Amino acid sequence: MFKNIFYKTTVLALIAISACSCNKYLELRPQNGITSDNFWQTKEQLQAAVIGVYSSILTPSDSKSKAPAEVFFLWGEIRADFIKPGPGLTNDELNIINSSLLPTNAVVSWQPIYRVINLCNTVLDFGPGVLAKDNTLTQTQLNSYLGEVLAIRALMYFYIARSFGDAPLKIKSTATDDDLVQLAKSSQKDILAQVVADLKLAEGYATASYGNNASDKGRITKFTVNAIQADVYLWMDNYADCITACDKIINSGKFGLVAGDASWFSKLFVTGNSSEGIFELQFDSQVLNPYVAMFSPAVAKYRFLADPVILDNFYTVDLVDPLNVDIRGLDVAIHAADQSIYKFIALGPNTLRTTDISYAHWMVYRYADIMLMKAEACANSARGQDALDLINQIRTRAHALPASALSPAVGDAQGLNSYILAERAREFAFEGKRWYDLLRIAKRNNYARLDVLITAAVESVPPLYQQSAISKLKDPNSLYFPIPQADIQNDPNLIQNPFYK
Amino acid sequence: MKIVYDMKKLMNRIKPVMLMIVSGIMLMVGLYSCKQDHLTLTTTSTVNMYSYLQQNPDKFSLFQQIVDKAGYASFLNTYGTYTLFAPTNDGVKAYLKTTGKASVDAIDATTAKGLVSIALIADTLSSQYFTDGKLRTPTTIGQYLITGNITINGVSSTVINKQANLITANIKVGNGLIHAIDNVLIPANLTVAQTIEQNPKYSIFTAALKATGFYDTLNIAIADNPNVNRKYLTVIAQTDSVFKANNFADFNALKTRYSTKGDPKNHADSLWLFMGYHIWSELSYLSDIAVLPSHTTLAPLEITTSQLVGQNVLLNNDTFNGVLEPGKQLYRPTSDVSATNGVVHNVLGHYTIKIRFPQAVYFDVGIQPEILKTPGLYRGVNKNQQFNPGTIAGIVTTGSTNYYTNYITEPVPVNSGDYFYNNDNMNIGLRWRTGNNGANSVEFVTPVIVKGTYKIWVDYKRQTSGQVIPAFFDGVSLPNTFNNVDPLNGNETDAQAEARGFKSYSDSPVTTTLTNAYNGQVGRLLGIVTIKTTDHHKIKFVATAGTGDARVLILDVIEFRPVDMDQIHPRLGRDGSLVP
Repeated sequence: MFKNIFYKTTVLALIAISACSCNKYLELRPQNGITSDNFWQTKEQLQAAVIGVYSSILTPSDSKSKAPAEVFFLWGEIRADFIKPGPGLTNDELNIINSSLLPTNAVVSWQPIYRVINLCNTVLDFGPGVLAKDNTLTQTQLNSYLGEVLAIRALMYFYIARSFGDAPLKIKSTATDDDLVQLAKSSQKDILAQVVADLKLAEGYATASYGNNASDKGRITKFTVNAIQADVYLWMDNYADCITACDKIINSGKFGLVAGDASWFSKLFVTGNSSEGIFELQFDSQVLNPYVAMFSPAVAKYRFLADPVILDNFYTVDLVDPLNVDIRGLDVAIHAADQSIYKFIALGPNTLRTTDISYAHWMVYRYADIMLMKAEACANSARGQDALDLINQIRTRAHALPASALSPAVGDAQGLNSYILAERAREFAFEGKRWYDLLRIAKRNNYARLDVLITAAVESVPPLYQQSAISKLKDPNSLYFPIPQADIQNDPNLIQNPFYK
Repeated sequence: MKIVYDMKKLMNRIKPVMLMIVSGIMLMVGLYSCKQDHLTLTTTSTVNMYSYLQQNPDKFSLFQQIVDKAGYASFLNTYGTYTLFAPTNDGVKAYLKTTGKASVDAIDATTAKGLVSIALIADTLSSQYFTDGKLRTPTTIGQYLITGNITINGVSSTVINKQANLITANIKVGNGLIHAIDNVLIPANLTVAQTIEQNPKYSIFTAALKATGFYDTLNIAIADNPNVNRKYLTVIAQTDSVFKANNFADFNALKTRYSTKGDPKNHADSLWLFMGYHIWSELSYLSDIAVLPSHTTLAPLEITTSQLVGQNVLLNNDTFNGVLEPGKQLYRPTSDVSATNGVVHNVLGHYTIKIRFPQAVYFDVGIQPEILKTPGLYRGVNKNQQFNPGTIAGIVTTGSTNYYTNYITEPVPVNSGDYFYNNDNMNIGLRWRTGNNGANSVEFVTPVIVKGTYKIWVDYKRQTSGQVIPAFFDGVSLPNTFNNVDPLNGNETDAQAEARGFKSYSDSPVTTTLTNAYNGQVGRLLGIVTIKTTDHHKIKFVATAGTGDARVLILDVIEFRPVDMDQIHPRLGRDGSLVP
């Protein structure tokens, strides 16, 4: 009797427990996600993580932040002289145009860039562990993946160093709460040293080709690493290494200029992945870019217009034959009817992209860039004729007009630099390079060429702010952004940049 | 018995324990009651301005004493929207040293009131509102503060009123913002007249001010000035060296040359007009002058134009009939000198009222800077370029933003029947009608027109269906409307046509068939206007056609011909020439 009750109770209890077991009351793992000790098991997961890093450059982390693809434009153009305010310009953006920049300005938030850096760090920390768990992953494959993220991290730190000067240098991932550290600033020099070291490693790791054109243009290859190297060395005034890096790309025979014929615009900017592309951010119908919303007069609150004087001042006009035009100006850089910034929002001279097909690629590096970087390095290392030859190749392709030609002597480094700066302005208008070009030329030889920044400010800053803006430019500390206010508050070790105290 | 005894014993023992417990509890309660409740009863711990000064004696104790001295302590602690430029202790010490005072106590109450009033603005102005010129709201003393930026040895700092550098900007307090500055702001205590008189470089200019009576005009404090439009004045002063460079050795030379009536106080005397031309009835710092295109002077109906060219602010840098007349530059270091009732600028050159006679202006509406800058477009072959509303600064349309203004040029050979001046024209809005679905009105900024009396002709291309179009010049309705369906009539002579207010403005042959294309280049008289100032003006046309009507307005030229000029000849040729 007693035994019977005991058995019944036991059986009932067992049934009850097993029935509940499906609810995992005691399970602490999230049921709608994947944790890191379940991840990093197979090479497919490793690849997914690497592709995720690329994806993080194209899209913002949430609705309140910006995609790095948008940040590249803002940081590269908004302080320079090619843009004018559009109807939807934000207050923060206007304040930068007016040269009154405060640490609370949302445009200087570096969160989008450090987010990509952290994702790179995560792959670098956990990726090598996959080798032990998945026997089908080879060391070469692993290295190729590590090379990609090293190069992306270097590129991101290069943007940070050029925009902020000194900034925190974090090269370990923040995977758990224990990894949160309050870093102090590292100097621009130290950051660039890290960038150079990373790129050297990445160059050895990265593959030369993925076997298909889209991946070769949209993912990091050995040549992308060389392109970043050239840019970094040029910034550091290391001309010999810059030329070496450029030559690796030029001599590879894999790249060339798109011929300057009627289909030029369509091949290079509308379709993308042309023979000229080295690294492009590949937006598509699934991942749209922010550019139509930023530039297209067809949307209500577009934010940026092109400064119409660039047609006169940079591309110039042929007074004898008005049909003879620089192919990079009208209806490529700028659309005359509404002064819109055109190359990212157009399908042709009179056809705009609509919001649903806003997926023009963002050019991070293209072959013309390599040629002009090499020209600049040559100009500054007593190879003036080589520099002029390279500039003329670019100009011939673009049908540049005689009025925009300069004729500096081969030994005149300053004259050559000015010529290259103007040619880069024509070639890469609105491609997020103008401010960095101005700053690089201006800062060389201990800010010997501040005049280029001042000339740009005279043109672009509204009259009400012009004199203050020019005065501020003479303070080198003002040429870099302030540390974002939120980070100053969260991290007592961060010290605000001197100009913004 | 034993138990009872034990109970008693027990009770006796318990009693003191109980007593101790009870007294202990009472003690605890009693002690606790002395503790205050630490409940925060305010919603914020942010203090107001005066309390902020009190809380930071290491920085602002001396300025706080000045506020006490002025009696403004409670005022600075009231809620409101204020901006305070608070000098630090070092700044106040520097001020005391330069004024030779031992301590803040030595400052009298009136001076203290001035020092606080000039530093206080009844508006919240963060550092992002600091421009090259004046802040948008005056200080409580009535003078405007100006801001700027200076870089010395590669270190840039914001300068307030040319007197102090900004140390810490945008300190938020309950009733506004505090900006810490490194020196005391001192209010101007001289009027414009006194400011000029005090500067030995302006001796000839001062003598001329006194002779013409403008000295008194410039010497009235804001509060005492009965004329609200002249409370603040801007003076463009010329130094003696500028006068001497223009062969005026002293005031007498100036008087001999200009005083046509012999009495400089006479308002028709050229010396009076010359001096009046150098005084503007507005408060404009250099940054304002760089932004505003024209300025009213005290010389009746004479304006001075201004323009920012590169970094230089130029006066009267104007193009007349295609010829640039170079302007005179304002010299930045000695300009922007604040006075109690205005500001003094220094011009690097002698400039006078230009005597101009009315001249015909043939305003080809396609000559717009934005069109000229577009490569291959202006007077190109067979162009049709749309310009969205707002993209041409000189053309303002109302109505739907979907209806553009098109700039159209002729093909080669020119379409038969088209005789547009310069072979180009503008199609306004594509749909020229009332309602949401078209362009409702268009306003053009004209080229500079010399003051005088003019007949205004609008030259249009006749359409098969037209509408009555009223026109407005500087906002004033013109006597005639025009209907762009009206053709020319070859049966009448030029004089007969002119009597009706029509003319053939082009070199098109006019036929006796009214609907012939040759009769379609019509000039129509809108009326006679007296233009009072030599300046850019505005002319506006308004659509009246119904919302569903398919109507267009094609404009070629707007002519301003002086009344005493031949109204028909010269005609305007297709090739841009004037046909006698």
